[in-house]
Amino acid sequence: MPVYKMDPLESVDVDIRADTPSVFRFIAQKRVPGRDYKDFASSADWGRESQSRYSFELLPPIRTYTDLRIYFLMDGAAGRPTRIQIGLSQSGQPIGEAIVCEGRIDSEGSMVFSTAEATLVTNEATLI
Amino acid sequence: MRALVTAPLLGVFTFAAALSAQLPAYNIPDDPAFVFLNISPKRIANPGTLPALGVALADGIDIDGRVNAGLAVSFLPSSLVRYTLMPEGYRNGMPAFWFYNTQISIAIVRKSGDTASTDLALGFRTILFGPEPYSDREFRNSIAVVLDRCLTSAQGVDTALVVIQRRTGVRAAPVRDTARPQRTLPPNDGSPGNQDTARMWTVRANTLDREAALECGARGKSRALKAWMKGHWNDATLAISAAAGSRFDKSAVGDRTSLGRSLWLLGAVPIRRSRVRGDRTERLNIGQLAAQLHYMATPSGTGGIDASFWEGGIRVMAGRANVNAFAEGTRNLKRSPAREERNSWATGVEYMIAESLWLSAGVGERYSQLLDDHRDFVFLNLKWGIAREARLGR
Repeated sequence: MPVYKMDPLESVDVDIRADTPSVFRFIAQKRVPGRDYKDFASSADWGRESQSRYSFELLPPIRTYTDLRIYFLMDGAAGRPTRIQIGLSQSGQPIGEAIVCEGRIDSEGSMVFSTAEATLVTNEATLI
Repeated sequence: MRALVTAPLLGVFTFAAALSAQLPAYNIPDDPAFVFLNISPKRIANPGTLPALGVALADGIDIDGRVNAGLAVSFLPSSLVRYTLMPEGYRNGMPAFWFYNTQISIAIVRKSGDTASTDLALGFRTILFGPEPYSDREFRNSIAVVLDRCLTSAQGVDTALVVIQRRTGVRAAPVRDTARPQRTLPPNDGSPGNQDTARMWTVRANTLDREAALECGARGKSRALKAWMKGHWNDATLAISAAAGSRFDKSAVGDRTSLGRSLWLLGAVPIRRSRVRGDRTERLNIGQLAAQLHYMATPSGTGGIDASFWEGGIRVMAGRANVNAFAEGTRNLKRSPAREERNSWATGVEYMIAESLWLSAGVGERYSQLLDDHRDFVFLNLKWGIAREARLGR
């Protein structure tokens, strides 16, 4: 699981982008230490229209070892690859490498289920 | 019309199988290089299902009775090259759409016999315009709704977690042990004890079950595709296939002769009408008018005779997405010393008996090379994945 170091007092912008002509939807969850995962964003929040790009933010303060998990369900033409990039940034600056979720719609047209996970590490001392 | 063939059904079916190859297909070849060398996908281990790279051995016996052995490769360049094409840029009829729907085919066949020559053909197929659901915003939105619903319904179920729980109870009378029938369990005097175990599915908070999501997605997608096809089965289509080949005598690279080139064009327009119902205008799909052109250029053979030809055909059909009546005619457009004028026609009905599988029945007339005459015929055959099926997305 990728680990991203960040400023706990800045909001984290999560940018999800499709790289292929596919349709995808997601449910994003976060977990702070000692708690269960909770939904905090979903493509359904953007209405019923399919979009190729979704952006949302994780508001501060950000606890260290916060886990981020995004479930994707992707669809596209049979036999075609599907690819989604998830980029994290703070104050417009990207934090680390983007996460790439890849899959291939099989010849029967079956969809792709994929999960992107990341751990956010901060210097919590700045919160005190 | 001359006397029709009135053979029993099975006989007609077998006869028709041989004839079907000569009927206008109204579908350009996905792998023109294979067709150019007469190694149709039927004779290859089906490389034409659009994998990233389909490779198959092309073994078979050609029309002259020689054993062919070779390799057939088919691939979509857009699947091999890593590049970004966002859904908004993927629109029907645009250059990105053409590239995304281009398929390359390469075939190499080594012929047995005295010459031991090797034939090489290269070809491509591009769909310039066609019924492609994923280029349609309306379809993408309907799939998005399905995906949202499936993600939500898959939440809170974790079928990977199995918990054995103990159940307590009172056994008032002796009972036979179900696990060991030769043993009898005594009554336990009303005091509760551990009697049994129960297997339970437990819910783990906020996890999504992959299998449940995919199963739900497959069901929803099938419904969405059927609904979309109902309104788009006869959409305008424009596609092109081309192939060229060379022969290497004695399989020597330096001893090359051209085998010619071939071009297929397919165009189709919908036949529709509008109907006003209340304050809404409805679009009614009636049928489709399709035209096909095939050009074959062959190098001058014995005596410099030009055997090149153009062949064109028109097909009109009316009906619904899964059943229609059709009439079609084909004509050789250029008469050459090496090729007689050839006409053929057919009319009949087609019914989709399964996904991409059509039953076609009717009557027609075609040119018989064997008898040097035009012959009437009856046909009843199966067609796999013909043009009006969504060729691109399933």
